[in-house]
Amino acid sequence: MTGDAAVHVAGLRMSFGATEVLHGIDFDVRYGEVFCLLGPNGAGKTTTLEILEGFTAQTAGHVSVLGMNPAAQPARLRERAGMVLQECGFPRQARVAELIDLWRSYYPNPRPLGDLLEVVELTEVRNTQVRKLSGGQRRRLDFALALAGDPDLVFLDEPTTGFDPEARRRCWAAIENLRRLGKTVLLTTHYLDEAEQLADRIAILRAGRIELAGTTHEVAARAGLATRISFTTPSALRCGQVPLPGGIDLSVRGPESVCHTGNAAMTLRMLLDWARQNSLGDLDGLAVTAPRLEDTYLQLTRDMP
Amino acid sequence: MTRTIRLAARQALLEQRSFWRSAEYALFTFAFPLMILLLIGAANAGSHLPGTDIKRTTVFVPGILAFGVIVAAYVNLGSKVAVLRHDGVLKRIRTTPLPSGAYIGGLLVSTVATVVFITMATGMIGWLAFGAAPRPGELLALAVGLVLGTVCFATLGLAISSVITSAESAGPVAYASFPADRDHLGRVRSHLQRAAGLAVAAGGHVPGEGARRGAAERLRGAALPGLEPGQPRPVDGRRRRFRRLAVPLARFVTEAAGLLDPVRNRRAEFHGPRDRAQPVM
Repeated sequence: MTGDAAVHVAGLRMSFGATEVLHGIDFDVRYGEVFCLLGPNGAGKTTTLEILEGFTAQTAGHVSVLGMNPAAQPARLRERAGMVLQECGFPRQARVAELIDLWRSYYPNPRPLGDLLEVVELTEVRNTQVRKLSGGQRRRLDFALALAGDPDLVFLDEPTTGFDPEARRRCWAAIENLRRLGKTVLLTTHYLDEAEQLADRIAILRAGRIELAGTTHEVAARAGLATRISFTTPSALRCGQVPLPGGIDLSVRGPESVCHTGNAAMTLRMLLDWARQNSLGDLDGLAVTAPRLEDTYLQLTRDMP
Repeated sequence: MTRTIRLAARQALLEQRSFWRSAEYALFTFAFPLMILLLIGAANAGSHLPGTDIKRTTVFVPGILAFGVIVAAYVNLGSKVAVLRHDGVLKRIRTTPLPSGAYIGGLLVSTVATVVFITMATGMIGWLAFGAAPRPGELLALAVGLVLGTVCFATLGLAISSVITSAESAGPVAYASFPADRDHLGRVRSHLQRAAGLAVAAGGHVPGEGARRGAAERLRGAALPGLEPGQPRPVDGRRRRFRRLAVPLARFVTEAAGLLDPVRNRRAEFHGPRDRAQPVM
């Protein structure tokens, strides 16, 4: 079970006093993938991450990170895992390259300094003091420090919170670079677009429980969301000169006609047959939209008590 | 062990570079005691302590030396660690495999280096401007006193950092805690004054101590143990002097070891728990 998993979590529970914040969660993160823990504030994402990073011991359940128990072997784990925490300061008077080089000295097999600067796009500011860096540059410096030991696994706790769009894009590019380097990445975020853009697989955590897990499409399918097919309403249909297609729940909304289906291929075939039979051509503006993570998330949120 | 020492040295180097790059930090740690020395020393040049033939500057210069030690090792280190915690730097360190001993060692080595610079500058100015120079035979005692005093106050600085809850209150709490620590400092001081003349003068700078007179007497007592002011200095064998130094030194080390308790308690903050012997897998 854990042979293919960089991270294995089973029945994880965590209580602070009488309050249980994790109610027995299970998930695996495979080697080389970007896995995202998605959920609103207070869902338990950071608590889960702190347990996986070895900062906190769980109340119950089994946790394995790179084959180690993080609570029992934190020092060994930190030689192989890089961590970008939610909020973390720097020695402000240190220079960028100097600080990264110091961090490299902590590890047995560090990445070359030049590589690190290149991966996080900080080569141009290598001699700048940390206090003079922008917020986005500091976050990328965070990444560089997390990568200094050439880790097999990188934890990223809400890496783009508070960023402007440009800084977010550059941060995403840095995470894409991690993927290209073959790193396993465990990411937490409450931004749906971020999860959709970056993650190979996601788990939606809500109130200390994993509600759904899988790829974006798997999650949407499990949430029972349908694919949306739309096209420009033909004038003949708008005037009532042709009948509505049988077996399809098509709604005509003025200039646009829309239907939702669980079997996009079959519905598409039926629509095109109907159009041909009624001489409607190729259906202008035909678009097939798979359910987005946002739809899934909103549906889940709506359904929850 | 070698790795820990190497990492501590690198950490100390970064700390020193950061120290000198922060103009106001360096100014108030390094230049402030020197400014006080020049201003007050100049105002008191040529005058003597009441009822003695001791020049005020003879007491004042080592007093400023001790003041520099306290500012660098106690106030600055204590408030610095509190700020590092507040800013999350200590948490960041915990994400790495850096041994806590290397990190704390680096901070302490950097503090000692700062103290050495302050001492050299203060001693040089005290000598050139006011003619206050240590006796050649007491240089070793001076050096030992400086090192032990630095370790002692740095340890207290690390301890006081644990009660500072915010970066904003770091400086005020570190300064205001001098009177609160008076009794403890007094005991440390009593060991230091036997070990080295320098540390004795620190007593004169602890509030509420009746300062100058007591400091002058202790300074004389350390330099000329067992003698009243005005009595000639006896000829003493090296071995005997060493024995006289060694006993209080041993007591001081014991004292310092006791002071390390709060530091040991802070270890978890600098670093997470060490790996347990058996892997749980």
